[in-house]
This record gives sequence, C-alpha cells and structure tokens, in this order.
Amino acid sequence: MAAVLVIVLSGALVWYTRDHAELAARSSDETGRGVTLGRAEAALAQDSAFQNSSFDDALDRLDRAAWPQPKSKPAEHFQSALQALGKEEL
Amino acid sequence: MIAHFSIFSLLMLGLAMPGRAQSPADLGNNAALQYLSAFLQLEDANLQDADVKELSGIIAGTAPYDEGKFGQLVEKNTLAIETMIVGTRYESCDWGLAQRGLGPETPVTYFWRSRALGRLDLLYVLRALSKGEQDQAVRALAAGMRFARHVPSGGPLVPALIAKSLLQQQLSIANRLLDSGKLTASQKDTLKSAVAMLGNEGVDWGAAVHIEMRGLKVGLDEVRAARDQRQYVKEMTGEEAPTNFHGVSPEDYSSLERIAAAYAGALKDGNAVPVHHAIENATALVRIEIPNVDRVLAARQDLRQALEEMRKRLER
Repeated sequence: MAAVLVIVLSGALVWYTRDHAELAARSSDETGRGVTLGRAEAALAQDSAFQNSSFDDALDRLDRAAWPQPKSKPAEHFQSALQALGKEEL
Repeated sequence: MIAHFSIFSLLMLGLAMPGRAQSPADLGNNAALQYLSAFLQLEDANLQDADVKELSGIIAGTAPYDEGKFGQLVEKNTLAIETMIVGTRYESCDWGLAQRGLGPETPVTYFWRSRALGRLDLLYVLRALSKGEQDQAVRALAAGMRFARHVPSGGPLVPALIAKSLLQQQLSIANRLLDSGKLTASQKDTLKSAVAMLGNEGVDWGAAVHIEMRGLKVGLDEVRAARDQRQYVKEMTGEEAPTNFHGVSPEDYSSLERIAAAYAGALKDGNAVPVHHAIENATALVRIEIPNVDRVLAARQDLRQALEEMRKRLER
C-alpha cells in the first residue's frame, strides 16, 4: 500500500514539475522578452552594416523571436501561418 | 495569450498615465486599441513548406489565390481583419511607446503582429477578388493602406520599414486591380482617397529617425546607470560591446548628437555624406547602433516612387 502511494505521489510530483516548467518557459516566450526596442534597434543597425545583408534580413530574424514557440515542436515540414506571413520574402 | 495581454495592459497603462493631454473621451479614438484587439483575435494555422512558397507567390502576384489551401486561414482571421478595419477609421494611433520612455527594454511585439495582420489583410483582399467581391476587396485594400500608415506612429525605424513593405505590396495589388480595367468609379475613388491620405512619402521617415535617435540616447543613459555596463549592453542589444568600450562617456553623447543632426539633414536634402562622416568620427559604441543611411534613403525613394506612379494612374 505504501509502495503504491509512493509511486502515485512520485508520478504526481513529476507531472506537476514538468507542467510548471513548460508553463514557465512558455510564459517567458509569450511575453516577447526577446523582442525589445533595444534588440530591434541593434539588429537593424548591425544587419545594415554588412554589404550582403539587408534591413529585411534583420526584420526576419527578429520576427522569429517575436512569436510564441509551440509547446511541442511541430513536424519539420510544417510552419506557423502567422510567422510565415510575417516573413519578408512574402 | 500572455504576450497579447501584456501589450494590451501596456497600452492601457500608458494611456492612463497622468500628464497626458488626452481627455477620457479621446481614449476610445485611439486606433491602436482596435489593432491590439485584432492581435488578440489572430488565429494561427500550420502550413507545409510548399504552401508557404505558394503563399509567397500569391502575395507577389505570381500565383493565383488558392481557396482550398488558404481559405480557412483567412476565414479564421476575418474577425481580426474586420477589427483592424474599424481601427483604420480613426485618425490618431498611439502605440504607447513614448509612455515607456523609449528605453531599450520596451517590448515591441506589436511590430511583428502588425506585419502579419497587414499580410492577412492582403490575403483577404485576394480572396474577395477571387470570389468576385470587388467592393469588399477594395474596401479591405484601402483599409490596409490606412493601417500601414498607422504602424510607424510614434515608433522608430523598424515599424517604418514594416509599413513601407506593406504599402508596396498593397500598391502592387492596386496596380493589378487597375490593370484588370474592372474597377468602378466609386472603387477608384476609394483607392484614390486612401492613397491621398498617404501623402508623397507614405511614411514619416524624419519622425522615425528622430524616435530612433531618442531611443539610442535613452539606451546610453541606461547603460551609463548600469552596474556592469558591458553586460548591460549585451543584455539589451543581444551583442557584445566593442572591445575598447570601458563605459559610456560624454563623447558617446556628442557622437550621437552629431549623427542625429546629420541624419535629419540627409532626410531633407538626400545627402548621406555628412552622416557617413559623423559615423566615421563617432565612438565605437555609438557607431554600431546606427542604421545604414543609404538603405533608409533607398527605402524612402522606392516607396515615394511607387506612390507617385499610383497617384498618376488613379488620376487618369
């Protein structure tokens, strides 16, 4: 009986920890922490300093950081429609 | 959801700050409120790589609109587009950046939400055209132009460049509509009014550069106040500080002031030489923060030309 209780409690603890870790990671992404005015300005300046790079490249790179990442990584041949619409080659 | 909520709360907080000239009755007239609601209504979908390429062709006008593949995406986002259209009826648009003091930590997720929403509107236009709903298409296209005009409001160069790109795509679709010869006089008038509203430039580049420079000045203030200035530069820009950087100095501020003055001059007379000269003589920290003036002038020229051509076509 005690062994069953230990297993159940351990399972619950693992589930709780994993779920909260995912939630914390997702919250951090969704607040757009990586996309700030300072980073946008820096990316624009640094990309445009190079001959073969453009403002559009900088916008695309920042674009990738601007959208929340899915909890589970989708199959490689799928992309987010909204993220695709944000890309400059469109 | 949290990102959406944070943008929304940020705007509300900004608008509620004391000292603003707006009266409570004015608050609802801010187009940004509607746009932020539209961002909350955006619905994503998974696209295969091949579909993304096809989408690119559709927007560029090299492939026909495909209802089977993209109809559902547009359908799911119709509410967001309609909310955006409501926002475009207002004259003023304040995204609330100034209320955050233009500091480097200011979240600017709305830049990219705007880009996606503007492109969804283009798909909406093409879908309406494919269904023969030309009035609907022209209405959404004109609204998209008004939306693009609002995107750079009170912001630095990034949203100005996003607006420029949206406007060029919208003008390209307007050209296709004119090529078809099927536009009614009233539909032409709708487009004419939207294009007239954009003025000669479409984007206020001078204002965008001014905000860009103000943001960089605030950035210098914040680096100077940091305990570990080198670490702060890395955190805020995502890049290492120059190797010879030993802390913000008065020379950094004067370098930035000289560049800002030269940049403003270049936007007036088109001469980028003084900007290059000011950058060459600037401190290493400031030099790496300045966007390429030649590319800014080229972007302005591209849009100016596209607008001029469209105006001439609409007047014929």
